[in-house]
Amino acid sequence: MDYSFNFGILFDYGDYLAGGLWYSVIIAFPSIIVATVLGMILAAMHLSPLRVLRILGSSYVDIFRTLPVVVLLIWIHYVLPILTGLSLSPTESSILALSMNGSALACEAYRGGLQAIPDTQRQAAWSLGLSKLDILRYVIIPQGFFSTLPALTNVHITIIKNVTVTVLIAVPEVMFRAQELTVQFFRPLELYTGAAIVYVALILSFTVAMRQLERLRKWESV
Amino acid sequence: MAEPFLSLQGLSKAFGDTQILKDVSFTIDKGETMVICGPSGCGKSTLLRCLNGLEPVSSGALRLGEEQIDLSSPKTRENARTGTGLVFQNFNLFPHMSVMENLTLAPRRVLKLRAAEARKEAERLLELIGLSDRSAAYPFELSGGQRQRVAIARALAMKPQLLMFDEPTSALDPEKKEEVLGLIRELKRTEEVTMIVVTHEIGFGKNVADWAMLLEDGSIVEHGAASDFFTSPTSPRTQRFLKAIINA
Repeated sequence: MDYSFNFGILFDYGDYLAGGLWYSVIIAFPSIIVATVLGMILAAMHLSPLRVLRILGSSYVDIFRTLPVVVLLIWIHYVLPILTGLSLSPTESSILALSMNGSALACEAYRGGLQAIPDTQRQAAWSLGLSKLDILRYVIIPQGFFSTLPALTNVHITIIKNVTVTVLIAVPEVMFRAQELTVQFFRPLELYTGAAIVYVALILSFTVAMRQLERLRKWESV
Repeated sequence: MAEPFLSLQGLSKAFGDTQILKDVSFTIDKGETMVICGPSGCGKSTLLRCLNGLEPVSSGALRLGEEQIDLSSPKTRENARTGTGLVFQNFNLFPHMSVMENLTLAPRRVLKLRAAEARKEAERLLELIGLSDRSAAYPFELSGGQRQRVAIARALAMKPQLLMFDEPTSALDPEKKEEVLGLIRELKRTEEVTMIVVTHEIGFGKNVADWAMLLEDGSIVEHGAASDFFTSPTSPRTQRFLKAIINA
């Protein structure tokens, strides 16, 4: 291997590279919020007694879970304007794509989490005379929160990782900047390693925060 | 003669083509205890669940004290939920709530008691079940016998006219069984609760129950005073069944 290392470039351009984090965050954060809320609504539609809502919910999940994120992103950014005349900025297109994909994934996380609650919990609550709304509020949601959390954290991590595909529509986030500097200085190893470190640090700090949330659980299932 | 406190008339239930319960009827007086036994799949649990209003049935009328409940109508069936209490085989406590919260949730939300009133009654029940010092514990911190005692207290907190137990000791080891059966015996004496217990504990049936019933394929095979039922059953089927349990 005759590649001479020069990590000095990370000292010179490290802050420019890490500055791309701002874009990673302003894309990932809103997408995570939308996915978490919309995923919950979709999961509720899945459980709805109304057939129309169930079909709408499951069709949404089927479409956006199967559509590759790259295809979805490029379609939103380049095809949607042709169809509607509405053209979005690269950042807006990215948030839209990651939210749509993320909410389909989040819906499945919620469904899995709710299924983890044994049916006997509902029966016991119903037997005590509690209303359906009270069962949801006092029995299902408090338990479902914790049973959903690990899977939901995975969805959030996937959303953050998927921010890197926005490089394709020139959002100047970390990966895009690494590519840009590589073209200029021809230091792919140093720069892409730098980009990897930035993303790992971002996602690790996120998972540490989510783990704190999991620690709030004082009980164990019996 | 006065009307019996509890009477069930013509309870029938089917799952598809299979008839689970066939025209089951009986009466119990206030404060009396009835034991139901029978082979697995005979419909014992389903019978309790129907009396608790958890299952749709094709016909059946339940009179509980002054209250007349048509179990076959989905609307009125739900009234049975509050008039009767059911203690499950696997306790089914709410794992995310402390013992105190388990005992006060339904009284507050359904009976609309104020928090202080619900707590006071819960404390009384905890004393009755001998767990006054565990009110802040979560179910996972309790033993199986303690969990079942809390589940009994949770049902009692709703002041049911009829308290039912679905094999309350079958998930417990012998020592813990006695802990729970002792409590049920105590309830009969001090709280004067009317009870139906599905169990195969013959000793308990003999000493505590007033009435006993053998159910098979959804029909009553034999039904009579517990003393006769356990010592000199008339039906050959009951004789065989009891013998099998004793020899087990």
